[in-house]
Amino acid sequence: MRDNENYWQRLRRRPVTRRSFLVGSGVAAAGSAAILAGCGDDDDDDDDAAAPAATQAAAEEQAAAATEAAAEEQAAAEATEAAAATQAAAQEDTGPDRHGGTLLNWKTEEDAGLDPGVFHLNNREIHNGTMTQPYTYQATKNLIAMDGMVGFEQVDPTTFVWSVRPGMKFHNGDPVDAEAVAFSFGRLEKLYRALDGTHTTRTGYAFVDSFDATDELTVTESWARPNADAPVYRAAHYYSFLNPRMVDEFGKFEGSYERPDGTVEDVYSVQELPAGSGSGPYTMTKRDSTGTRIERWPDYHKHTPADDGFVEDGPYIDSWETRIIPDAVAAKAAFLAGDLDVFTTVDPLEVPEFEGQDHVNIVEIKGDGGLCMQGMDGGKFHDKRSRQALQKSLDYEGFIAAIRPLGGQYAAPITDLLPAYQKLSQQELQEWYRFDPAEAQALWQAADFEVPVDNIKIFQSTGAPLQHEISDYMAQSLARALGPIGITAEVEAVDGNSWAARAVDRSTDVKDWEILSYGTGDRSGTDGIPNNSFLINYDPRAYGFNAFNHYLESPRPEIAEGSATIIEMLNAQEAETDPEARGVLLTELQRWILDNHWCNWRLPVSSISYFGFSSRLQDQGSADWLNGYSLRRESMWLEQG
Amino acid sequence: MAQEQSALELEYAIPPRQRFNPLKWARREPFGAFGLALIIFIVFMSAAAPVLRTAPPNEFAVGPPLAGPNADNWFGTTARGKDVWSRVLFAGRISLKIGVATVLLGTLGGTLIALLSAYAGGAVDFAVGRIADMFIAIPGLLLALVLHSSISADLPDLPGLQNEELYLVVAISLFFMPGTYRIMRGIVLELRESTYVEAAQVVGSSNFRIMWRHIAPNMFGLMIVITSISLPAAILAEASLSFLGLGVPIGGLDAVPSWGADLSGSSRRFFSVAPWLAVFPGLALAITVFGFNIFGDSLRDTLDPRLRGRI
Repeated sequence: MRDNENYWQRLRRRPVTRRSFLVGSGVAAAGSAAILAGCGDDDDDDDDAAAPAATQAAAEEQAAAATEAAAEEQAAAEATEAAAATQAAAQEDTGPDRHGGTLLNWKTEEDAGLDPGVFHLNNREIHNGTMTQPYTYQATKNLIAMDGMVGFEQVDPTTFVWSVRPGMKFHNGDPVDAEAVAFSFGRLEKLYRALDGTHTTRTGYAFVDSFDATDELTVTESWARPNADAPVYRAAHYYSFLNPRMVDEFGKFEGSYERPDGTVEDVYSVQELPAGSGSGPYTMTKRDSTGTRIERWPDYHKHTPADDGFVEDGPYIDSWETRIIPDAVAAKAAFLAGDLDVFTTVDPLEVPEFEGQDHVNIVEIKGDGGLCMQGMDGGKFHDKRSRQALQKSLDYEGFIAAIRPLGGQYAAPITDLLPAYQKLSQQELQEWYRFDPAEAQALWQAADFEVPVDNIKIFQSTGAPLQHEISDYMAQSLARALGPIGITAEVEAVDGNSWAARAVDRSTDVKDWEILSYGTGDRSGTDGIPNNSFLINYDPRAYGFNAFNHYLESPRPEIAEGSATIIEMLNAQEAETDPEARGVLLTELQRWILDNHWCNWRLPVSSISYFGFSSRLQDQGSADWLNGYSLRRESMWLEQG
Repeated sequence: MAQEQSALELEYAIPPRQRFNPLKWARREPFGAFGLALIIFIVFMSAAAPVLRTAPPNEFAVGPPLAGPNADNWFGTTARGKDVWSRVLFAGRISLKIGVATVLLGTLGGTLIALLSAYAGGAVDFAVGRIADMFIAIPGLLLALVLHSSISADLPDLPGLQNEELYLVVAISLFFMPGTYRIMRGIVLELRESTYVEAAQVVGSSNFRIMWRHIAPNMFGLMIVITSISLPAAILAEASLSFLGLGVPIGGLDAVPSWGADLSGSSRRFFSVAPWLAVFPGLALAITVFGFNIFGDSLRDTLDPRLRGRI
């Protein structure tokens, strides 16, 4: 009987042993690895790939030239002309085929709350989609585009008057009037005080005495002192118009606020943002652990006339689906598979991977790579010589070669994207950013240390992989430069929440780290305000205080003294409304920061940023995507089919 | 009568101990020998890493970014120009170190606890058993995450084992220890009832002597089997934790590369344009685990022929 069995029957009867299983698995794994290795990119680029590349290069040149030209335009009249021209072009191109579709976006985490006056983490798509802001400001074009307002006027240096767009309604039918707008603006300071800090930039409203509704559609701001950035601040999404009735009905008590006259007011937040809170073009239809969805609100008001980025009859796109994808690699895979329309975290080295893919469009933007900071603990590095020793301990050229292999540049305290305010050249910056181990050792040994430092711990969050490389390079460079005098350096990485908690822990005079590493410097973007790009990181009233122990009341006299000086300089530039004079003040301020190596240390950043968009997404406003105004760009549209 | 006795003596005589002949064993267990060869190869390469390297493993920009395998950088370079060959060599050190330390702590600890609790029996055995159940119920990675945020900063630096490495050893050991305890407890319960243990009790041997001289030696074979099976799993666990960013320190001159860490982080972004970033650390990890697995399998067959051929 057995003789009649064929090979396959015998094989089937053979028991599978652990060993044969392991051998088989090993062979399969090796085979898979070999196949994987053979499946790399094939370099047989055809000629077709060159054409889009050339087109893209030409477009980039045009964009860069336009950006440069626009940056020089400071006069409001010119901006208005540009807006009118853009508007005319937009109207000319408008066609019925632009309407419809769902934009597929992503974010890394769930939001921590939706009240625009409280948190700004992972909730921008909701604020910008479901709420109305005064206007958008595109810094690269120096262009204001009216949204919830139809005009503004600076009556005198301390009085600013807004004209609210007539006919607007909240999603529950309540009218959007001056009372609602004044309430929305005024609650930011109250929430900040009640919660002992929020994500809103307080310097944008700290100078305001009051926001008053002077008639049904007029809001008047009264200021304690002039502020050059006030109009630009109001473009931020946290100046969203919020329905006061929703706060009355659904608000959660957050604390009390004491008015200047001594009376006390209860402060409420709406972190769930109940339906009827906003007046934007979309309403929120989904919000869970997988993401959010916003869909067109049919009663959205008209934008007449529609400025750049807006269209008269509301946004072209019907809905936005924002998925939560914690891992950027997974997001890239989704983008390449056509499941996302936006992928703004393209590493320059991975650009070749996108080439030849017809369904994606990689946009190159030259300029400042953004935040790449090393914050120093003022409790330990109170003597400026110790900070200067750190400044001279980094091999900047090596850093650029290793971390920014396709192009890097030295970074000033203010972003290069604001050329009217950042006038320090690369050569000038290299006077401060100079690698000199001998000088670093001499400075360190001469410095006073209230708390001895023999090990420099660079503290970072585990989030961005590039952050690891930056910290690693830093640690190696510091250890090499200061190692001969017995100083060591190490990196500690913890999860984001632990990192944030330990970054702002002020239970003692010193931090449990020496340097706080944050930002990868590989993507640019600015909202047009020097404070946000990036003076706030040096401000003893802001991050300088809560994250870096550089503050006015510091027990270290040198830090207290330095804080007084920089606060005076910050106030002076902010109050200067003449751009030329302000540029001079800001240059002096930056020189002071670099001379003293004050508080934060901005490392060389990428001189090229890449953004990925799907080919079907049109008029996406790529240059301003990262400051968030593109989330509001109603003229974006999706090619159908 | 004398003849009968001599026949019985012959029948039940303990055969003379045969000298272990490695070549004979290799012929009988060719896969085991191959596994051992792989292990020796990996250990040698890791030990000789400082000599065999072509660049310091953490040095930036020793070659162009994402350069493919070439004469200067045999396994290519990373996105930041680090030499992959040197990193693969040095990463073997941490994998083997953590693997061996973990298995020693986990297996010895689990065996010792099993011996003491099962021999004592009663409430002690019950309590220890429930604690083991509790640990088994917690997913290993979750336990490692909790330990990382709760104890990792407080652990001391031991000679040859920095605090981050010690954390890995403790976290992975705690994962293996309850399993080892469960298996070993069964053996102890069986041996405790054996006639020679009863005989030892009758002649008045102390509990310690019975455990140490009569029970523990009989657990040794199984302990080796568990060790050989746990070691590759421990190496993989270290790689997994490093992949998640919970492994050894990631920066500084003294940072130690890890295969798991090199398979994660920024490397993952470039796998499709630079497959060598995945292939070489992955292959090294696979070879090591494969070697330990087939060697452990043969060792088990040699030490416990009853289990031969079963999966």
